[in-house]
Amino acid sequence: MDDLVKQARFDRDAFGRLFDHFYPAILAYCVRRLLVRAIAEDVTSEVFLKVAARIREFTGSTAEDFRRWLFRIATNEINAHLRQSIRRRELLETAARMGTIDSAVSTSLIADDAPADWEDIFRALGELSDREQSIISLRYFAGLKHNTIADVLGIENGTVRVALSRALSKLREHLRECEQTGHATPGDVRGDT
Amino acid sequence: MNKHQKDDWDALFDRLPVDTSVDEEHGERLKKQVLAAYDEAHSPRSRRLAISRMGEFLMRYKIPHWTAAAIVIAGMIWLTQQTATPALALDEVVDNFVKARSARYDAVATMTGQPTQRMKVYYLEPRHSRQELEGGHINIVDWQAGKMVGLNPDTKTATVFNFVNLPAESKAGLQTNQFDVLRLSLQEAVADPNAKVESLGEKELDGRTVVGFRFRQPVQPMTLWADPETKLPVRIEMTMAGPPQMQIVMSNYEFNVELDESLFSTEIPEGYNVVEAEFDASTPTEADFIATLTMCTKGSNKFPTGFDAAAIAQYVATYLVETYHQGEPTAKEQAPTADQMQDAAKIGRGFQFALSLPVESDAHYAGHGAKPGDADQPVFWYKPTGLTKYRVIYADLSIKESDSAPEVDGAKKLLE
Repeated sequence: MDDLVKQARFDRDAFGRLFDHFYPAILAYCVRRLLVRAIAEDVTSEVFLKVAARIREFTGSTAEDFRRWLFRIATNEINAHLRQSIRRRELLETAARMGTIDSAVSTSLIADDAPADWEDIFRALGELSDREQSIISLRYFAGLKHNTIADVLGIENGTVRVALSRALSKLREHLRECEQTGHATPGDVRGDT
Repeated sequence: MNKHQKDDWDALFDRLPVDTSVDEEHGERLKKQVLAAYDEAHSPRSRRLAISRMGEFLMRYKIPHWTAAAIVIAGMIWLTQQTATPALALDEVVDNFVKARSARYDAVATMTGQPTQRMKVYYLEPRHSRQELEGGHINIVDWQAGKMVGLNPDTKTATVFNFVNLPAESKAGLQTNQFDVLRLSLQEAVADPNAKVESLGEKELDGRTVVGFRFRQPVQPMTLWADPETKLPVRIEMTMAGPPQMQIVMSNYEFNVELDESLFSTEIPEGYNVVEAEFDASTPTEADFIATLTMCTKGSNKFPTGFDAAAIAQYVATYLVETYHQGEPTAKEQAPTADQMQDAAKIGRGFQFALSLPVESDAHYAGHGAKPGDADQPVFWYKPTGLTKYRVIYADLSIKESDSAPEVDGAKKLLE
């Protein structure tokens, strides 16, 4: 795979094989984070079109380098899409309408085996900062390890552990607030538009 | 967060009820689009003038020394436009070169009929570079911070370019300095089965045996001499076809040396006057090109003599002298003003648009000798990607669309 990455800068077929290899993982990451498949496919398309246009500028030499670069671009694209609260709201409404997140899941994170609503979970996630969302997404939606997340986001390994812990604490707090006071309003907390 | 909670988060997100399976139709459709984008990005000899290169030139530009600036900008264009070429025996040398965490070397740039420019170059991952030019001028580039700093000890002036509109992923993806660009070129050359590399055998260089390789590129040949023991380059010579011909020699390489991070600090030393300007790092457009030509023709009342690096550098220099000094030579030690730097950044953006056009655009330049304001004289034309009509720019800087390219004596194609 490392050789494929090196060849992909000038070899179209090699680049096509890289696409075949990484497309499912990037699509899955986008679907888990964006919930609505059509939007996830659009963002996935943006990611790979950017990669194709910039492959000659990629300076890594291994498959792991390429993977980190891909997830960095994907994370930036997802964040850019979610940065507008109206989009977050529409996304959740669409996902709820389509039945994607209308189920509940049992978890002891809020209270003993209390059911959590996926819609609330994603609303709460949307209230975190871009970086916090990125860390949680890369960890739980992309399944990346801490050191890889650190490389993707360009931060220290130790920072990822601390930031992830804090982000999850905030997420849990938001969920508890949702449970106590009803549904949160997406976008209001961060005050963005 | 205890382990129990950590497991709970894992368990929770594992149960996210979304279908992540691949839709083959979307995958196939996207693959076609992506490969088309790949083809476009790899059009033959697509000349992509890196923003950082132009900015680096602009930052260190001093009006009376346009010749030195010309050498630098020509070298930058050279570095960013060259295409691949390979060799099998080079694999290990290039691999070691690519993996180097830091480097220190000398660079000498010479152009026919112009003074030689010498500099000491330092590189430290990730993508920090520092150039110490003969005469004491220092350039420091921190691409991730989006900043270039030039320190002139003669005038105690710090010139600072702040990049704006820089795409986040570009900070990590772009080649940002001579060292990274060269590494990428060599990496591509080794990996490309169609490239031509000639073995030059052994020779003695500075008291040691080195092994040489010549990269046979039609426009910019390159020779690399490597130490067979360390398997690292010791000297790289590059030649840019003229006129005027330019050569850059990099030698005395030291790899993985300890370099103090303070060398790459963009903090301005005490006692320096700061002259600051912004550089728009977003993709330049035709409008930027027109703005550049408008500024320059207003200042110098003529078009560049050509579209090679030296001609552009000379043209920009003339514009700045005409605009800011009424054509009078300025003192050597005079520092650029913020207005000059901002103007230079805008000018660079416009030329960057033209120099970045792919070969398929059939871009031509015919401005040499054209009189600004002449509504009948085409000076530049190109075909935008995906369109069939040409965009023709006239000497009065009006733009018309045309089904065919104009026929103008002396017109030169930007890329062959």
